[in-house]
Amino acid sequence: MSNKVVETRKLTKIFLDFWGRKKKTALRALDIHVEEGEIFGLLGPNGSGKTTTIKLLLGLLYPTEGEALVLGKPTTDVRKNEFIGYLPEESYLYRFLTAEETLDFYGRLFDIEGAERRRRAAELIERVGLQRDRKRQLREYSKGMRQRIGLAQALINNPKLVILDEPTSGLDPLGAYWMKDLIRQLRDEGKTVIMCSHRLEDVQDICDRIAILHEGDLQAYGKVSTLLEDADRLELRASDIKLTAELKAELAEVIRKHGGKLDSFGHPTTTLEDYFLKVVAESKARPGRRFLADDKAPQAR
Amino acid sequence: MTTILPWAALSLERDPLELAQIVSLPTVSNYLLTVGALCSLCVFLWLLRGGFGSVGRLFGGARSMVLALLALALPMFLLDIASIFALFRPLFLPADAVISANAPLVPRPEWTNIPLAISGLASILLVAAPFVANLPRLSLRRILAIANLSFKEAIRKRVLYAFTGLLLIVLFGSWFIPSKPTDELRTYVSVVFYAMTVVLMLVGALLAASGLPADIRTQSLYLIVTKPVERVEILLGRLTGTMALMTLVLLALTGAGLLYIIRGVSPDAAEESLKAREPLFGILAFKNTSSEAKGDNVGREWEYRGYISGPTQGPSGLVTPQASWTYATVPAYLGSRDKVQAEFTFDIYRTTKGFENRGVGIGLVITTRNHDPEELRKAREKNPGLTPEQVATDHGFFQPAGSVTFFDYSTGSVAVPGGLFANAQKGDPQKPALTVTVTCKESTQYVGMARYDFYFRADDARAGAQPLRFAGNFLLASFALWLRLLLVISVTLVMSTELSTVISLLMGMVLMMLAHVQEFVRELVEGKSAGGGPLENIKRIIDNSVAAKPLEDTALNTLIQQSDKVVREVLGGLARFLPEVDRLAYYPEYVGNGFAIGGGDLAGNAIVTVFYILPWLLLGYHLLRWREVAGPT
Ligand SMILES: Nc1ncnc2c1ncn2[C@@H]1O[C@H](COP(=O)(O)OP(=O)(O)OP(=O)(O)O)[C@@H](O)[C@H]1O
Ligand SMILES: [Mg+2]
Repeated sequence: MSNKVVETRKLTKIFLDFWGRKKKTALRALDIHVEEGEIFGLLGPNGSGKTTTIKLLLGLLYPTEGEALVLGKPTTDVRKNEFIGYLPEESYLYRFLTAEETLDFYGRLFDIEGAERRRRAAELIERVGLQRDRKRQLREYSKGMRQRIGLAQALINNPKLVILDEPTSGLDPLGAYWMKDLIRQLRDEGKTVIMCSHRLEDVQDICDRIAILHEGDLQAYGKVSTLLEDADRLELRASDIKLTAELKAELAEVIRKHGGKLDSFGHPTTTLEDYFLKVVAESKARPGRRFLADDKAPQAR
Repeated sequence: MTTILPWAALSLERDPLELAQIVSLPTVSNYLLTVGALCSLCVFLWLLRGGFGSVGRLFGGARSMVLALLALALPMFLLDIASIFALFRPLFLPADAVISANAPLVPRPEWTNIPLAISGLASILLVAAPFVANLPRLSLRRILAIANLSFKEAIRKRVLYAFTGLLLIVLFGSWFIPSKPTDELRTYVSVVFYAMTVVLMLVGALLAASGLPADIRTQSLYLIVTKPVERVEILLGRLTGTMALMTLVLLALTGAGLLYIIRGVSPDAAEESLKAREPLFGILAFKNTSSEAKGDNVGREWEYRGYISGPTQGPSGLVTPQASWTYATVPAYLGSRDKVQAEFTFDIYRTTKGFENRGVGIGLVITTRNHDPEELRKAREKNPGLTPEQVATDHGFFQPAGSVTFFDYSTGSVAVPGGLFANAQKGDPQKPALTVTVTCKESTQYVGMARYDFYFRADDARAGAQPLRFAGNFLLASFALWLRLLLVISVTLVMSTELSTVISLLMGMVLMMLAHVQEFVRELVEGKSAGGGPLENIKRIIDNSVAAKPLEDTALNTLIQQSDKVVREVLGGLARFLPEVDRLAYYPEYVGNGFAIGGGDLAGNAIVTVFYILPWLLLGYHLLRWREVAGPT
């Protein structure tokens, strides 16, 4: 498990303007590595250099300084691409192609035989749930559908390394959930995944290790569980119990006895995401159900 | 006893390129010098820019080989540097010094040609090496996938349809052009080819110019270059796809054009012109004139034709200037024909006014290598009733009965006995089989002729309309157009790897236009155009002054005129890199006048086109390879 799939050494990217003057330092001396079989998250606010890092790894940009090795090869070596799947930030697919043609086209670029290409295309279309729309041109697709076909094209070569730039952007919570599930599946199949996102809950859910960037500088780097562990705080959950003043007083007493302090106390609220998923699941179970003002059917619990 | 043919006139104003001329040492060495000059400049500039470190990495084990090539390429680079400085040479020359468009910038002895050509070859190899090393990794499947994509793109994005509209307008607009029956086919063919050329070039260049920049703009290219795709595969794929589509369009247009012509042409015109004459050309030389190669000069300095006058008084009596075409061999099958037609189109230059509509008498004698005047004289004495046929067959001599009168701007014809060609088959193969001698009979006139002004018809002159042969000939001309299309599309495509659609399209078009008006560019370089050099002309336009009037003697004007010389040198330098399309562009004229296009010439055209494109593709390869796809644009 300590096989390094990606390794960067002092990777730096400075964008220059037409006259060669320094315009923006998008990434400064980045030193990270990604291990085989893990899901690695690149985190950071807008403009922090996540996409720049990915583009450098893929050879879409050339480093100003430093270097990166991907699958043991320099980033400008196109042969490494044989084993990489890439889903860009926005959909860069040809809108005049249908889903089937799209997969066929990218399959050809991997020099895959015709029969094998068709088999994989059919399988992937099934996997991303686009069977019904496979003969439509992508210009008619919604953002989420394009993201799905984009993911399918990234998997056409059965890659060892999958690089996903904002995989959940533009997806509804259901889609995001599906995407996260699929990413976990990919890891379970033994693939290495690098993804970047500024949706923290996504990263927290699925990433094994993360790097946090800000203004091109690495700010934090390591295992998610280690980074997030808050050793000074305690969380407690209980069920089948009524909330009474008596209970609160007793608990506060116990905590004080051990040198702590009770911060808050109350019923937990579910996240909107959980609620949304539940509503959709109910709707699927009972087709035809609709929300009406006088009908209070869909409720929290 | 000549017949004037109003129908056929093939009057070339410049020698076409010929296969033998193209596949020759001077052409090859000139090519290596020109392309090598660019390559060595690129190689050394790259090295100076810090490429030294990467030489070893780039070429791996072949390091010593690369160093050897670099050493070989050095002289070419030094010549480049010298040439760049030489561009400013006219600043230090007297004001009336002549700048030539063809002379090398740096004067050097003849013997340096071959060593420099080798140096040029080394430079080309250096530039081509990474590309060649890449070749085994190319995959046909990937290239075809990208070709297929650009094909679909063009069709589904409907770029093509707007231009088909344009075509229809152009074609329908010319439908009603009135013409004399003698010009009918010529007009039809030139209109159809003109329309085809305009539409194909524009659509082709637009497709080529728009593909890659759009891919970069929409970032679709990201998904292609992150696959195991060699960048040159993108270039080749786009080229293949665009060419495939344009070939289909070309075929459709050719079919429609042919149908339009064959059905539309009147029976009279069809009878005379709907065919493919096969001209047999000889080699022209002059005798008793000021120059054996060029004949006499009639004061038109850049005249394509050479001139002969009537008999003139020489130092030792009357001499008769002659022009003669020699044929090393003639086809044997002509010997079995009853008559073989000779046709000619000469230019008349009059030294006296008046008589404009009167023809000029010329002498025409055709002899074979077996002709012995003495023997013929004796035979005639013995048998005064010898027919021209007998004379031709047995004595290898033919002279048309009566005088040959020739009118300006028309094609004359003479029927020659087939026996003459039978006679020409015999005898010493070292000597030319046939010699055609032309003299001018009137002392006040000059007759101008060039190599392609006289020919025998290898096809049967008496056959009527031959629509099939005409169609075949038309297809050959379409193939020549296809070659031109290949050139335009390649060049524009290469430009589009680095430039935007609009700029690539413009540059591609400007290049083709300059190539078409190379004669004009040359005049500009040599300062022969009215109103002086380019800058001076611009100043005149701004000042609104007359071209004939010399500029006033102000400091600004002197500056302009001096700078103009540098501009002219630079233009002259650039003009060397223009494709010689003006020498390849005569095919529609052939077809329209009913002349067969020679297979050899067409092959030469193909070779020239391919070798012109190769350096461009090499450039495209390097541009695309170094391009930071996601970088700032
Ligand atoms: N081609 C370019 N030219 C100039 N500057 C660029 C270019 N591409 C990116 N940058 C700059 O580099 C910085 C990092 O950009 P990057 O796209 O890597 O951010 P990001 O972390 O992916 O942001 P987001 O979350 O918005 O996708 C930004 O300040 C951006 O303006
Ligand atoms: Mg980004």
